Amino acid sequence: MTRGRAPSPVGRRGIVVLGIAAIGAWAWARLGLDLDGLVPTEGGARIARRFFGAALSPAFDYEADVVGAAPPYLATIAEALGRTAIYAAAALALAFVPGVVLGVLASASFWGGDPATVDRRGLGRVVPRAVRATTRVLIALSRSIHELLWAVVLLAAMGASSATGVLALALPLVGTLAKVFSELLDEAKDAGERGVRGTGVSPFGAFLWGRIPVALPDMAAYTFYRFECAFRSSAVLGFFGFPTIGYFLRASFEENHYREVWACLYGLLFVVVVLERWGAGLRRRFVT
Amino acid sequence: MTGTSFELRGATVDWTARGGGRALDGIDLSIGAGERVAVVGPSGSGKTTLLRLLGAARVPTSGEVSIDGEHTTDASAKSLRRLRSTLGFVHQDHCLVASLRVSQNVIAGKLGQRGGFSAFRSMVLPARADLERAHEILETLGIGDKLFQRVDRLSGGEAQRVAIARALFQEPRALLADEPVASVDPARSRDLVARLVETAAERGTSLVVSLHDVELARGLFPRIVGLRGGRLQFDGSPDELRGDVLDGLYRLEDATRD
Repeated sequence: MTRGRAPSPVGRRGIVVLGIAAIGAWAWARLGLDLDGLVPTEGGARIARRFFGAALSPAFDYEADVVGAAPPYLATIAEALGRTAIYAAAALALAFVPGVVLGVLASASFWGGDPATVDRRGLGRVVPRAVRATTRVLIALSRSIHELLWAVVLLAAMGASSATGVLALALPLVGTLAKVFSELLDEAKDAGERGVRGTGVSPFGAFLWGRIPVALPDMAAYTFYRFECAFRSSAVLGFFGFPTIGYFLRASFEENHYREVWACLYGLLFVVVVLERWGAGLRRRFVT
Repeated sequence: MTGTSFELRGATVDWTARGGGRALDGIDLSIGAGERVAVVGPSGSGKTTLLRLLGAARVPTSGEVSIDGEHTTDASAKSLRRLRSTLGFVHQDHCLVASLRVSQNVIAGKLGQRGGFSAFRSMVLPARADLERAHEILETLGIGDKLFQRVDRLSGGEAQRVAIARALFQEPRALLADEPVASVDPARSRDLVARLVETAAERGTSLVVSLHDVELARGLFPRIVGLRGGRLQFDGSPDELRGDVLDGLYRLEDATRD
């Protein structure tokens, strides 16, 4: 209980907000940022005009003559977008099960035990704590390296195979899924778990039938959102030589084929919007 | 099948060591097999805590609770679970698993009696017999048509009846119900409590129900237990709970303890 001193009108929250603003201002000053840097030079402005001008007329065919019997341009783009999605789907499939397992092990609620006897356990208290701590370290390690860094490292070690790309996407995804799953499980209302426990099931059974179903709709919605993120990362993998849409984006850019660049960008935008709409529909159905 | 018997000796639940209060203070109470008891008292008087002790959901911090002769304080976690599987508990806040269907919530009543695989099967691919039994129970409670609804789309009164159905599906030896009609409209609540009493009488099940409606308790139960500030203040027949005795139980000042 708090007593005595009346709360000051500025309060701790005000200090935190001011602190954050101060850090932002310091970072800005430290980098010597000024808006002049955004104004392009004469030549730069010409390129910018050409680039943004091409936005209104994206390419429907190759901008330059192609050697041999290449497939139609739009077919190439569509196939690259499809491959981008396949990389993302494969990565998600690889990451999902380990993500669930680590998420469950890292959640406090999984180790909660039976409230009636929780005071009695001696050694039974140490083991869960150790497992949970280890799991959380694993999750942090997995998350601390971005998928693009993993891609660089794995490329150097294993070359640009599909497996390399999928693994690069999947490694941080495991940690991200696990972290959010563990939080969703812990935040789920515990009423269901109490009800199921009352029928005499083990703590594991109560978790399985009383808690997981409550968190499941949110977990499903989050997994779908992560698919969207994996799709965007998969596109960027193309810049490192994987045959996703980013590969074609980079090639067109290097040849100054800006209309092709815009075709790729519109394709990406289209897929992301479709995924977003689809995800919103699923969320409406799952989460009431 | 005989009902469960309960014996409390100086049962105390004291959370002061953890910054809480004393929820129950030296309760002596015995409830025989097949007996039907209503628990009344103002809010905060310890009704829920008492029911949780009877349901082996908690053990007393001091004193003893024995369920069919088994002391819960000494019982292993496994024996507590075995006891719970024989006791149907209707929680005040329903405690249904949101996002599962009514059928799954009702069939979950037997999870404690079923081992691994058969528990899994009953939740994922329920047997026809289970579904029919669940439907039958829901019918008697007036919500048979809700069998396949998700429970988070039910009204409060419907959810309460699903919680009762889960406890009945369990086929318990004692039914413990904490304010089982708090979310049901008054016209319906008498019916519902009467049905619990009837079901218990038919099967020889012990029945302990906490109620805030004293009239309901007096009309339907042969024995009433009154709690006030965590102490047992009244234990007798409905006829004895009247006048000064009743006023004393619900007197406003000092009704709850810290």
